[in-house]
Amino acid sequence: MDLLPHQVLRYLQLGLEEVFDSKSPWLCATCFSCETECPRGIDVSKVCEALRNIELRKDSRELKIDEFSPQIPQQGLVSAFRKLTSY
Amino acid sequence: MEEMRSYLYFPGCSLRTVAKDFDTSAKASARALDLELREMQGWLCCGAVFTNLTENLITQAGPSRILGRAQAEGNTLVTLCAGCYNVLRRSSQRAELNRINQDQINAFNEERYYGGVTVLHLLEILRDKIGFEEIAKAVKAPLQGLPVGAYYGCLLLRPFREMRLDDPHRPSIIEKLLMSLGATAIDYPSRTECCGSYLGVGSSEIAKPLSSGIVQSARSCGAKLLAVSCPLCKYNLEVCQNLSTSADTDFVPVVYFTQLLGLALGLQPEQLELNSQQLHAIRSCARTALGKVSQ
Amino acid sequence: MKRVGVFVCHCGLNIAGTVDIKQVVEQASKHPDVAYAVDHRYLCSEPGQTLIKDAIRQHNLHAVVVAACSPAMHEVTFRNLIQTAGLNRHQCEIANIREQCSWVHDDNTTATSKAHIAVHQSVEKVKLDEPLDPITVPVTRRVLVIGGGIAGIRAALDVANSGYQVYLVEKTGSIGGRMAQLSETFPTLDCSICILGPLMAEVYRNPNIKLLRLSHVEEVNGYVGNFKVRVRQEPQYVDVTKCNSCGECTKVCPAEVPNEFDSGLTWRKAIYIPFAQAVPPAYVLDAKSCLGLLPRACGECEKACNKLGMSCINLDAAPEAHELEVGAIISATGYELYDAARLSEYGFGIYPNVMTSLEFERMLSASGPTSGLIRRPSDGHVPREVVFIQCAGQREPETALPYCSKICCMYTARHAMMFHHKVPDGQAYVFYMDIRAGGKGYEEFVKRCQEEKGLLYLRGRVAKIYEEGDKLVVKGVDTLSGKILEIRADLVVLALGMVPSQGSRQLASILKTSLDANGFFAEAHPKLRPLESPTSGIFLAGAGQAPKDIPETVAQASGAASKALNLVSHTTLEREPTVAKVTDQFCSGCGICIPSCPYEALSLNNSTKTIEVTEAVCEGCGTCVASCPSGALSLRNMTDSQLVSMITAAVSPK
Repeated sequence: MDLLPHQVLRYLQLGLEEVFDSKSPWLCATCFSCETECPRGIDVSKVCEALRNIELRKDSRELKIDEFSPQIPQQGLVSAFRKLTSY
Repeated sequence: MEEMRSYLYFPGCSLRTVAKDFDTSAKASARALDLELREMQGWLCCGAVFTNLTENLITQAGPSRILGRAQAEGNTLVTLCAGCYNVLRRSSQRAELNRINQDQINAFNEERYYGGVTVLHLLEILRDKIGFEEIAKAVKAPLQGLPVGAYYGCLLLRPFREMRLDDPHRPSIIEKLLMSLGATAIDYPSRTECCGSYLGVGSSEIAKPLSSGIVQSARSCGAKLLAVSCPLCKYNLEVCQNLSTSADTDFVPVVYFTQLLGLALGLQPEQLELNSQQLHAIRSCARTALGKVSQ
Repeated sequence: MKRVGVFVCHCGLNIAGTVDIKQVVEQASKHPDVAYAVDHRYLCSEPGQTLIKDAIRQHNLHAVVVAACSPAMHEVTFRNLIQTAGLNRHQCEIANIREQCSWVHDDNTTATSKAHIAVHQSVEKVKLDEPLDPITVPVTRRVLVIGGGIAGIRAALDVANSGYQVYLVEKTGSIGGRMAQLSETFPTLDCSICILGPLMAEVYRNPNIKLLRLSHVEEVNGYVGNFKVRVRQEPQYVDVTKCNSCGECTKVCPAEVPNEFDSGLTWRKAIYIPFAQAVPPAYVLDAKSCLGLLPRACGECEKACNKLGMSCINLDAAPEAHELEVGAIISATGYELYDAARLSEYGFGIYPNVMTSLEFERMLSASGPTSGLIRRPSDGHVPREVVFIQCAGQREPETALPYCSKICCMYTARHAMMFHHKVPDGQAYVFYMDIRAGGKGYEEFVKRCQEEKGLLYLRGRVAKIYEEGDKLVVKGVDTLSGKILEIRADLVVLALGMVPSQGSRQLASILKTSLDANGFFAEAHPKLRPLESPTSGIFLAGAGQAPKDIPETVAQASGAASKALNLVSHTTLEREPTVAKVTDQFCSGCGICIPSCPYEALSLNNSTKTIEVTEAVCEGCGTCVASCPSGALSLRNMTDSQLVSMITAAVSPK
C-alpha cells in the first residue's frame, strides 16, 4: 500500500487530488476489517470502491488474469470483474 | 431427531461446478441429520459480491429476484457459500429498509420483493435449530482428535452489524461444531483474516502472501487441515501452497466443514467427494491432538 | 383596574431577527389594560432593567409583562427587579417570544403573530395575578454526603469544619475509594495513600462527621432544606468501637474470595480488613462469602476473638435502618472501569497477561499483590516488553464508549515511567491517539516520560492481540511513520474508560435526580452550574458527575460543600408560594384529592371537615386541582379563570 487507509481518508479530507494516483484503493479486497475495527465505524472499503468508480467511469480498466485455471470459482471471477472493472 | 426438517436451499453457481463437493457433502450430511436441503425453484447467480455503492441498485436486481422466488416457497433460505450468504442476507435486510429503492429494483423483476425472507447459513441451523449437543449424539465415527483449523474468512462474519453470525474478533461457531464431531479445534491468530478474495484472480502477488500467511499460521499452531465455508477461500488457500518450496508433507489440505460433518456422521468418503490428499491427511492425523486447543 | 406595562426585548437579533418588535409593541399598546409599552435591545442588562424600574414609577404601573426569552432564564431576575421598584414580585409575567417563537419559526409573519398572542396571554394572566409572599420553611442544618472517596471526604471535612453536622455514607467497609488503591499520583508522584491517609484520619476524628460504613441510601423523601433519608446499614458483625485490628479472626477464617481492593489479584478471607489504612480501623465480615451464618456453619472468628477477651464479633447482628434528616445532599459516588472483557480484540479474560490499568496500579503499589514488583500474571516472571494501550474502549462511538476519560494519558505515562524505574532493562511501548495533558504540570510530566529512554510512544491503535508461545503478539500501527508494527510483548496494560459506579442509576432514581446519556449524574447547567444537580438541594462532586482527576475532584467537592453550606447556613428557606389553595365554602371534605398528591401535601382537618394544604410541601403541580369535583382547589396565580382568559386570548379572532 502506498497510502495507508487512514492516509487515503486524510487526503480526501484535505481535497488532495494525488489520492487518485494511489494504488491503495485497487488493493482493497472488501474484507470489511476496516469497518469492524474503526471506532467511528468508517467503512474504508466503501471509500475505496467510490474512488475506483470515479476512475472507472472516466476510463474503464482491464483485468489481467495471470494464471487462468478452470479451478477458479465463478464467485472469484465475477467478484473481481465487478469490483475492479466497470462491469 | 424425530421428523425430517426441510429447508429451502440456495446453492449458488460455484457449488454447481468447481465446488460440487461442498453441495454434495452438505446435502448428504444434512440427510444424515434428518434435514432436507430442498433446492429453491428458479435460482440464479446472486452476483457474488454486495456492492458498496448504494446507488448501484441494478446489482440488487438479481438478489431480489432470488429472494422473491424463494418467498413463494417459504420464508427461510439456507446458504452455504460465504459469498452468497453475505449477498443474500444483506440484500434481504436492505430490502426491508428502503421501500423506494426496492420499488425501483422490483421494476426489473416479476417478483415484488420487500423483505421477509430470513437468510440463514447452515452453521446457524446446526447451532440454533439442532444444537451441537444433539449433533454430538448423532456422531457415529468421531474424528478422534483430528487437528483442524477452522477458517472463517471475511464474508461469514463481516460487516458485523449486518451479518451478526458470531463475534467478529473471536468467533467460535465452527470450532464448537468441530468439537462436537470429536475433532480438535486449533486456535490460530489468522482465522478471521482475509485470504485475498478476488485479488487472487488478477493480483496473485497480493493474495498469495495473505493466504500463505494464514496457512502458515494454522500449520504452526498444529493444524493438519483447514475447514472452510467458501469456494474462493478454498481456491486461494490451496493455490498459494502449490507454489511453496517446502515438501509435500507440509501441505495443509483444505476441506469444506460439511465434509467433516458427513464423515463424523458415518458417511463414506465417496459420498462426500473427498479426494485422496484430503483423506490421507484425515486418516493419518486423527488420534493425535497437536498444537493449541481452542477455548 | 390594573395598569400593566409591556416590555418587549430584541435580545439582539435573537428575537428581533424574526419577530417584528415594533408591531408587537404597537399591538400591545392597543390592549385596554396596557398603560405603557416599549421595546429594548437587551432587557436583562443593567440599562434594560433600569428602563423597567423607571417606567414602573413614571407610568404608575401595577404589573409588568416582559416579552423575551424563556422564564427559565430570567423570571427570577425580573421578579427581583420589580420588587426593588416596590411591586409584589408575582405581578410580573414572562411571555416567551424566543425559545417558543423566534427560535422555532423561519417565517417572520407567523412568528410575529405568535408573539402577539404570547403577549396578550401574559397580559390576561397578570391582570388576575394575586400579590403573594414566599413561604418560609425551617432548614435542617445538617448535610448528607453519599460516597467516601476523596470527593466525599473533602466535602464532608469542609462542611464539618464550618461547624455543621455531616453524615458520610459509604457502601464498603472503609472510606478512601479509588485514591486509596493508587500507588502514586501524577504529576508529582506523591504516594497516594500517604496524602490521603491523614484526610481519612481527620474524617474519623472530626466530631461533626458521623461515618456510616457498609451503608447505602434506600429512600429519600422531602425537599430542599428538609430531606428525610433512610439509610440501610449492613449488619455490623464486627463492632467498630471495640475492634483493634489485631487480625486474629482472619487467621482462623476458612473462606477465601478474590480481594476487590487488589482488583482480584489476591485473595482475602470472609472476615477481613479492606486495607491496612482502613477507616474505620476495623475488620469487616462479608456475609456473602462467609460459609454460613444462619444456620451457623463455622463461627471460628467469634471464638478466636472471644478467646482474647475482645468480644468484638457478634454473628447475630442485624441490619440497621437509620432515619436521617438533612437539609442538603452531596452525591460523590465515583467511578469504575469499563468491562475489558467486552473488547474482544484485546483478549482480556482469555490471556492472563492482558491486564487492566487498575490491576497494574495495584501491582505497582507497595501494598499490592507483589509488594510493588512487576511480574507477569501467567508465570511470575519479570516482563521486559510491556505494551500500554491508551483509549482502550473509549472515543469509540460505534463500538464502546464515545467519550474520553481525561486521566488515562496521565496515568499511563506514570505507569510506563514507574515500570521503567522498576525494570531498568525493560522497554515500554505506549500506543496513543492524542496526549491530553491539560492540568498544571501535566504537559511537562508527559514530555519527561516521552523523552525517557526505555519508553517508546507510538501514535496509533492496536488492532489485535494473540498469543504465540509465552508472548503476546500486539499488532498495531504508528501513523506518524506509516508503519504497521508487531510487538512481541510480555505484558499488555489496557487504559480503560471511567464509567459511573454501579448503583448510580438506582441512586439517581432514589434522589429523584437525573443522569446524562452516559449514566453520569447530570449537572444543572454544564457551564455555569457544574456541581448542582437539576434537583434542588442535591449537589454533585467527583467522577460520579464526569471523568476527572484528583485536583478537579477536590475543587468540585469543596464547591459542592460551599453550595450545601449556602443552604444550611440559614435557619429558614423561602419556597415559591404558587401552591394549591382550598376555598373552604366549596370543600365538602370528600378527600378525593388526598391520594392524588405525589408529595402527601393534603390532609383532612377533623374539626372543620375541610381539606388543608401543607404549603411547605406543596410543589404546585396542580394534580389535586384537576381531581377536585367541586372546584374547591385552585392553584395560586394559575387559576381556571386565568387559564380561560389566556385560552380566549389565543383563539379569539383578531
